[in-house]
Amino acid sequence: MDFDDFAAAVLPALGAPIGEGDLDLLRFVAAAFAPAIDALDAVDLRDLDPEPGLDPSRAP
Amino acid sequence: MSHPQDLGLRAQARAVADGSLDAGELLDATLERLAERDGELNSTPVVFAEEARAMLAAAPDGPLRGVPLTLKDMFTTPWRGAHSGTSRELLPPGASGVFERLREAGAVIAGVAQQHELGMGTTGRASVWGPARNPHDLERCAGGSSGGSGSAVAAHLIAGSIGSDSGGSSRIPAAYCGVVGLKTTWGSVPRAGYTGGVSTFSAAGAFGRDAADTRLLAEVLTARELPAGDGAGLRCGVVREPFWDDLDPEVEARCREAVEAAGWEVVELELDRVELAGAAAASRLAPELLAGLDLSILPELDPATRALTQFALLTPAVRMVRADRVRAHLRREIARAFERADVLAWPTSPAPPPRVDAPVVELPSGTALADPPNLRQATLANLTGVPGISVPVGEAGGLPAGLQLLAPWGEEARLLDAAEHLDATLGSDPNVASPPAPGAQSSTHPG
Repeated sequence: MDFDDFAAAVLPALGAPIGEGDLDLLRFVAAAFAPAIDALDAVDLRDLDPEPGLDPSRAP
Repeated sequence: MSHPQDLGLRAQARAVADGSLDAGELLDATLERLAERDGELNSTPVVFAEEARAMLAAAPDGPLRGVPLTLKDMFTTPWRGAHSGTSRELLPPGASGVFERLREAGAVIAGVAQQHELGMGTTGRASVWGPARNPHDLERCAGGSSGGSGSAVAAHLIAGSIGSDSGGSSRIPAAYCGVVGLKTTWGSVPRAGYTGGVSTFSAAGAFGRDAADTRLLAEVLTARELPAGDGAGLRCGVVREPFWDDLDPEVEARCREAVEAAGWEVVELELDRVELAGAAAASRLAPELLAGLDLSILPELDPATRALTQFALLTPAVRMVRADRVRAHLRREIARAFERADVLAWPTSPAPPPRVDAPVVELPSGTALADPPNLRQATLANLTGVPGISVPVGEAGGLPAGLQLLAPWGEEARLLDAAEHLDATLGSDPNVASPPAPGAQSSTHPG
């Protein structure tokens, strides 16, 4: 399933309407963020420990 | 005689307190200036004349007694709900925590500051009211999402404004408009009645024409004293990659010159995997903000915001978990960095403000949409929770440029010390004539 088909199937199921031309812009946005997102998706997490109870108001 | 809005926030508060400026006359002059000058700027699309007069009549004798401010559309007041720059009331009317802090200080809310819809943009161009424009060039963006705050303070329509910051939304408009913008430590300001209150990234922000004015506003927001100290002898951490890379050459030069002029000890630092901060923040932040949103609003949004929203809705759960792991790692990394540096510094935005009709920036790597590189520069503070500030450091291509500083959690005072030192070094003065503004009457300018 390509990106357009995936978006067209998933978004309405989430209650998010898709209008004419939306997929073109969505594809553009996805491409703009793709390098950074792809890097996040590819990062090796084995040495990145979680922070249970993460509290952004204070240092870990 | 100069117009009272050509006085900075401290000067207004002092003048009202010592009786040399009547608070009623200050409010009337502010409302007149908004009516005369805000047309094309579009910084303050909703003005509260009656409500402001009622607040003034009941204002207690606090540090901001009788001083008008504007408030971003993400915060509720007792008479207006929060709309976040959309046509929908997303939170009902009521006294938000921020409103209560301002009211207790004696401040007067004069209007709603324009914002990028849903807080999902760094340009300020998409809003139910239309774009906020930059007073330095009306064809340029004021920044976002708190664009109306930056624009109004820079244009001397108001001396202080309350914004918020989920991914640079106070720091970026401040940089674009040439004013000071502070992001507070996450959780240091009450979150009730704030549409960003559902997010672990979003924090209230304060705008002033200089760092000392911003300190006064921050003390009110955080309800604690932020005593001024020496900002000269600090250790300034510089993280070259990625924050000093791929920048507009003039922005890079102004920021580098500012750090040099400050005379700080420069400490070269590396933060492991910090290049993932932008993606980690975007992958976590947008779903947090959108989780409670009625998605039937989508057809009403600007096409770009709608596309960003749809993109966020497609975020897989496993990516959010990845983002959380990166976030935890970067929190440890930045805590480690603050063992060697008092503040961290890099350009707030990598390029001057883009055009309203073409929100792209020119970088050495090529033409880019403004949002991704802005988020790259801004989101580490939101991801980790630390406070950040943007300080004007001169012009790039005839438009303002800002240097961003970060400090450890709860260290707003240190951040403001550093910013005040920069102001003093670079010669900032909040009590000067306003920049030329559309509809300006020459008689309202001093001198």
